[in-house]
Formats: sequence, structure tokens, C-alpha cells
Amino acid sequence: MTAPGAPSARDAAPAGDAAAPALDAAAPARDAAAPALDAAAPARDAAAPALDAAGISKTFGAVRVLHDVGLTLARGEIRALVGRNGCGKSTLIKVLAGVHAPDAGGRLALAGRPVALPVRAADLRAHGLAFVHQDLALEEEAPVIDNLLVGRWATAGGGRIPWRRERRRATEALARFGVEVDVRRPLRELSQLERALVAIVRALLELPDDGGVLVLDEPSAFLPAEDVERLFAAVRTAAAGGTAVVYVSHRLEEVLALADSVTVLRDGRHVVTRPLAGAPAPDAPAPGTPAPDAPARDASAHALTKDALVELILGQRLEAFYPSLAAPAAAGAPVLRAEGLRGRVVRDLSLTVGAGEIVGVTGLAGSGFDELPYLLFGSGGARGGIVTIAGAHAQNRGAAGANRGATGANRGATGANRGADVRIEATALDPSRAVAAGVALLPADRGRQSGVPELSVAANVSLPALGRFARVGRIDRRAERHAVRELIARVGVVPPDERLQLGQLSGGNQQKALLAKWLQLDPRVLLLHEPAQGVDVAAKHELMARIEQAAERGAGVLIASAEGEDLAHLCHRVLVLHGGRLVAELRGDEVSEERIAELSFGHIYEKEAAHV
Amino acid sequence: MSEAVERYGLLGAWALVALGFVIAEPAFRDIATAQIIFGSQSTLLIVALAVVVVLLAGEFDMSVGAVVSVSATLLVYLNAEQGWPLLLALVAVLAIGLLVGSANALITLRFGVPSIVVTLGMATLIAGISAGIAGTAPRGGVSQPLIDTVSAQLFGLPVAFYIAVAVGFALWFFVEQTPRGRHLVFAGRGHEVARLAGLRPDRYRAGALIAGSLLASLAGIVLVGLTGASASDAGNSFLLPAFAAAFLGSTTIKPGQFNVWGTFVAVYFLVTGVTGLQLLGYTGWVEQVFYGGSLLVAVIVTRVVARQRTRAAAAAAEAAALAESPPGTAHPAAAPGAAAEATPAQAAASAAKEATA
Repeated sequence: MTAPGAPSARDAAPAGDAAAPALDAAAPARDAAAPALDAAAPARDAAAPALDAAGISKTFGAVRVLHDVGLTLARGEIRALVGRNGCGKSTLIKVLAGVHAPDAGGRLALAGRPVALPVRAADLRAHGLAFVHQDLALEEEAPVIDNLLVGRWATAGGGRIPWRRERRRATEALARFGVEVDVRRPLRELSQLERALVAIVRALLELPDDGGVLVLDEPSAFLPAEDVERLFAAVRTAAAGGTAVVYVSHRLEEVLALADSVTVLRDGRHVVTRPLAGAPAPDAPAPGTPAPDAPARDASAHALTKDALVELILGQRLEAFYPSLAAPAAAGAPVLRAEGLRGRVVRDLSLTVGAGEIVGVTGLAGSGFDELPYLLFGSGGARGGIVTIAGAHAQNRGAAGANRGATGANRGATGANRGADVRIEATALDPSRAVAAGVALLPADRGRQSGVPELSVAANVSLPALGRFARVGRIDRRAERHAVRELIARVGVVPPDERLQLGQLSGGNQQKALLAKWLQLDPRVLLLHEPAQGVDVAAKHELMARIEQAAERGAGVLIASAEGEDLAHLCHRVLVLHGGRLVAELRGDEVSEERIAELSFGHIYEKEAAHV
Repeated sequence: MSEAVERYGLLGAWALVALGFVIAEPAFRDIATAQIIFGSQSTLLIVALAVVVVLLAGEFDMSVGAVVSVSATLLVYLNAEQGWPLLLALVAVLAIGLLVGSANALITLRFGVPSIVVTLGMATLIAGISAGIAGTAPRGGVSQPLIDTVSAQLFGLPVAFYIAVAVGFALWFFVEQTPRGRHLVFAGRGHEVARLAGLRPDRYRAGALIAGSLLASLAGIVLVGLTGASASDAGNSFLLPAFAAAFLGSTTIKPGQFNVWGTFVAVYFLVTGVTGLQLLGYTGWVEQVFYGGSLLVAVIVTRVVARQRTRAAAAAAEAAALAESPPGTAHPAAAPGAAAEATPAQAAASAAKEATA
């Protein structure tokens, strides 16, 4: 076993980090704390850290996404793992879960027992590692008890399940975490919080008696704020039982309220691991004598404020600024309006997009920003609110008319010079109506929602406009091919061969072709979700140029993306969501990558709330 | 595998099989054999096309065989025993096909039950109802004009053959040449893509299930026209060969997609094989072995080809993603880590799917 604290010291971010040096100097406290002896687990060294990973690197092709990162947790410690999107925390967790094989040179030990890398997913349980992912991985229709115990039923004589005993076991396990339910009921009857707790209890049942390590990946993402405290209680109960918890969250308020310590990753590197003052002392017996090189918890735990944490995450000093609520730069008449929109995460959100305006919506994972384009397109998940799409102008008739054959709906919407506005309950909106009203959506899931990879580029691109190529009910395939070839050449698809299967193009070229599919309709409203995801730089520029061009031609554009850099480059206005609500709006010159990132962490939220 | 080999491989295999039989069995060289091969299987052709329509929409219709039986039985029962005029009996039989298809579509879409289960239940249900009404005894006595028309020889082949070709041509035209046919393909291959393009894929799925049953009814009528009689289980023997032909057909002409002319080639490949083996003296069991084996080989080939394509596409996509971020940039945006954190997007997508289901 290496000296406690050593991995963190070695992994601390190199200099060149403006804000962090002072903090980096503070050695992790609880990392070093040796837990009390526990004789219950003979094969495992109870005095060793529950989790001790060091030197973990991961390279995908030419891109190194993790640089020599370490993570050490004592028994019963709650460690928050934070960083912005793409900082490497997901990759780190996937290495632990055996999804990714790390580069050579890493080292992993659990409760003092070395574990060979890459971890084999089948051995996780034997190692005492359990994971709860954001989607919980539960079966909605199955009874609670099945969700909890499947794969680990006790068996009585003849291989039979002793139902009465197992029911009691399940009920008691849940009750310890405050879930009082009839375990025979199907899971879907439980609240979102109760489901999360079921997933956590299931994971805990997998862990050995000495506690093991539980990794919670954004467990609160879909929870209403009022339920988060109960989730915390469950996590603390688990930690009190000796389980070390890695808690991944974007919600920094939660991190500060719950965790004993925090590890910050940035650009694939370990930045700092620090104890947190705000966390209540665990109920577990106090840890043993701290290692001499680590300051005692209370001594070192000068309060880490949320601002300081955001600075650590971003790697730069926060500028004191507030988004002004001044009038917007001149945008055209509104083409899209949403009032009181509600979805799975989005709560009571209102927004307007003007003609010729490019509006970005962003936030952290789980903030609901990525739900918006789908809600506005009526593709499902809406729980309330009203969407208004401005009536189409004359020049748009071509597009809507071309699509008429496709949908047959809303023929009237494109009347003479200007049709009436389409004002509709979000729950009643569907893609067919949206398209007929002049709305286009380019989803992020290219292969499943946006295009069919096995079909030709020509078929994929012409799909919403097939009516244009119909002569007496028959597709003029020559005209179709020519039109598609011209379209994809214009957006720079390489090679501009419409006969290829869509899937034979590179990701960027697929995306260009699929954008062209919608641009040919001259949409009044263009909704995009992560339009530049997984595309190369050149393709990204091409895509952005086309999006700008669409806006110049009068379309209202809404881009949902976690890529602050892209949004800063492209958008007239950026809306930031946090916990499903709109918390900030940046306009014109205020739009910058740094500000978007800061606001995403909810930084301004409290201050603004205080103003109101 | 080169594209031409992939595209015309089955045609070549068919030619080889035929050549083999020509060499091995003198009776195979008889023109009558060719007539049997091309003419006798018109019913199977139509049933295979019924299966193809439904498969194109991404659904399964296991009730086509039963619809053939029921249609044939009721046609003879109504016309010969109940004394209905032929035309009225024909309309009634097609109406039954329409009804069964509509019921399949309604249950599949309204309640979200997989069509393979719905149609399996429907097959047994209608076979039972038909037996209750008309009994299970084989029966003949249908109006002679029907037999005369369907069995009439035209250039050495029965009219039934031309009916099947006409149906095939119509289906090919619809799928390949019309906007709605293209929509049907997207509804089957990319339900979400179609939906988010503003189409209503469920309508196409329903339409395909209805069209499949209607074609099966037509096949039942053709069967009666060719044989002059009906048996209560006459249609069941078509189900497996029809699926074998549809899947085998999807490996040729337009590889990777269920297609009309590929299905024709596949039907004739299967029939040639079976006919030749029978001429060589293998009877009874050989049909089952050949049809069953062909279906399995066809689905394996389909799967392997699809997997190769997916792998090639995935490799291309990964290469593109990696090319994006030169190392050392501040934001490895395309790094898998970043992609992995976009899970709420997928969550939203699946939520959307749930909502529509």
C-alpha cells in the first residue's frame, strides 16, 4: 500500500492554473484518514482505503481524455466528483466499471486488494464495487422485490425461493432507507425518489459487509429539489455503514451539502482533492489517527464556497458580472413562442425566438436544456404549456406545400399571404403538425432519429420533401437525385454522392446532409440538438455557416447544446437552464464561453433570486 | 464481397442449381418442368409479396397462411354450398381479408402489442371460426368461370402467374416509385426518423398489415382458381416458404432491403430446388428441409451483411470523431467522455418514445 495521500499529491494539476494553486496546496484530509479496524472482512484489508486508484489514463485514438488521474477514498467517505462536461469524470467511472480499458500504467486497489486493470465487469461484485447510473436501470413493470433481489435470491430446499423470508429481507432493506412500500407492487407505482432509492439499495445489497464502494452517477438529475434531502439521508446512511461513496453531480449546492470531500477534474486531469467543511460529521465511528502528512479534517476545512468550486472547475477566476436584462439586439418578429412549457425536467419555461435570431439553450446534464427542442417539436414528453408558431409567409408556401404530400395535415396553415399563427397546447403538438407549420428538428441521435444509415443519402435527404419530386404520383428519381446532389454539394458533403448509404459518410458529412434535408424546406423555425456533436472542426464550421445562413434568411433558430464554445460563437442570445428552469439569459456581447459555463453551474441563480 | 456478387449472388445460385438438375436428371430438361416451376407457384408468390409488404413496414404477419386457408374455404363454401354468385363471394372473401388486416393493425397499434404475437393469435382464431362455419372437410364445386379464368394458359403459363407478376409490379411501383412507398420504407427502417420528419409511421404500419391480409385473401382466391378446391389447412404450407422467400429475397437485387424482384428470384430458387429434388426421387421430407434450411441461411446472411455494414459505418464515424480534436486543445469535445455525458439527450429521446408508445 502506498502512503496515504500520495496519489493525490502526485496527481494534483500542474501549475498554470490561475486560481487553484492555493487550494492545491491543501492536502486531502480524509483520503489520509485510516478507517477504524474492522475484523469482519478477513480477505480484505479494512485499514486500507476502500478505493485506491492511481495513474489512470485513457486515450481514444489520438485524443487523451484522462491524464494520470488518481482517486482514493476511505471507508465511509462521501466523495464528490465534479467537473464540466467532457472533463473526464465519466471516462474515469467507466474505467472503474470495466466499460473502458485504461492505458497501461494505472493501478487499482479495493480495500487493499489489488485489482487487475482493465476491470472485468463480471467481477465488480466480487471486488465490492457497485454503480447506480442516472437512468437507474430498473424494470418499470416488475415488482419492487424483483428489481431489488433479482440475481441474488436466497434459495431454500429444492432451489425454491423462500418468498416470505425474501419479502421481509427486501422490506427491511428498503425501510432502512426510508422507503415504506409493499414490495410486491410494480416499480412504476413508486415515485421518482423511491425508484432512485430502490436502485441505491439494490447496489448496496451487492456490496460486501465491510462496505465496499458505491458510485452514484448524477443520481439526483431527475429528482425534484424537495426530494434531494431524502436522497442525501440515504447516501449518509450508506456511508455510515462503511460504504465509500463516489457522488458524481453537476449540482454544486448538493455537493457542498452532502460530500465530505470533493475531487475536481478538468480537461482530463486531476485538479484538486479537498475536504469540505459544510458536510455534517458522519455518524460512523470516528476514523483512526490521520496520517501525519495530512492535516486534520477540522483544521484544513476552511469553507470552500461555491464560487471557489466553480473557479476550480473552470480553471479561471470568476468575473463579477450579472447578465443585464437590457433590450435584445434587433430580432425580427417572434416566430416561435413557448409559455409555461413543462416536460420531464423542464419546469414552467417561457421563451421567444425571433425571425433571424439564433438562440442557444444550455445547461448541465440533467438541467433539461436538451429536452427543449423535442418539446417544441411535439415529439413527446410534454406535460403542459402552450407553443405558438407564427403563421407562414408566402415564400414559405413552397416548403409547406412540398411537405403536404408527406403529412396531409394542416393544409390550411399556409393560406394566402400569411396564415394564422398556430397556437397549440404542447401536449397536443406532434411532429407532423410542427413540420406542417414550418418547424424543423435536427435531433442529436443521428443514426436513430435523424437518418437511416442503411438507406441512401438521396432517400434520407429527400424524405420530407418527396412531394416536390412527384410527377403524377410518381417520384421523378432523376430530379430527386439531381436536387439532392446539388443540396449536399452546397453544404459541402464529401463525397457529394447521393447514391452512397448515409452510414458510409463520416459523422460530419452525415450531419451536413441531414441539415440540408431540413434547409431545403426553408423552415421558419429550425430546432437543433447538439448539431456539432462528434463532427470534425471543418464540418463544424460548415454547419455553423449554414445555420447562420438560415437565420439570415429569416428562420428563427434554437440550438440546444452543452458546448459553450459553439454557442458563444454562434448565438445572439443564450438561455441557461438549471434544474429545469430558466436561470439566466445572455445577450449580444455578454455571450461568452466563460459566462455560459459559470451560469450553467447555477452560479448566478442565488444572487439573482436575492435581487428579485 | 463485391457489390455485383452481393446483388446477383442468388440469381447465380439459382442458375447453378438449375444447371445441376439439368445435368443430373433428364426429366428436368422437359419444358413441362419449367412450366411447373414458373406456373404452379403463383399462390406462393402472392403470399410472399404479402409477407414482404408487412416486413417493409417493420412488422410480422404470421396470419397470412391462415388467411389464405380461410379465404379459399369461404370462397368455395359461399359460392358452391350457399349458392352466392361468384362475384359476390369474391367481394365477401376480400372483405374478410380487409377485416382481418384491420383487426391486426388495430390491436398492434392501439395496444402496442408486437404484431408477431397478434397475428399468431389471429391465425388460430380465424382458422377456428372458419372451421366452425364451414367445417374442415376439403370441398370443391366452385363456379367454373373462376377456374377457367385463373387457370387459363397464356404463353404456356396460367393467368395466375400473370396475376402474381401484376401484383409484384404494382408493389414494386408503389415502394420504389411513389412518395408513400418511400415513407413506408422509412416507417419500417427508421420509425423515429419518419416520425420526426413529420410523417405518421403508424399509419403506414397499419396500411401494410391491412394490405398483407388483402393480398393473402387474393392468394386464397388464386389457389381455388388453380385447384378448383379448398382444404382447411391449404394455406398453412405457404407460410414458411413465403418467409423464406422474403428473407432470401432481401439478400439479392437490392441487398439489405426486402424487395419485390428479389422475392421473385428467391421463390423460384426455392421452387427449382424442391422440384429438382423431387424429380430425383426425394419426396415428402425434402420440402421441409429445403424451405426451413433456406430461411435459416437467409436470415444468417442478412444478419452478417448488416453487421459488416454497421461495423464499417461505426469505424468511419469513430475515425471522423477522432479527427476532430487534435490533442492539446482545451476542449476535447468529441472525446467519448463528452459524448457519454450527453445521456439526458438519450433519456429525452427514450421518454419521447415512451410517450408515443
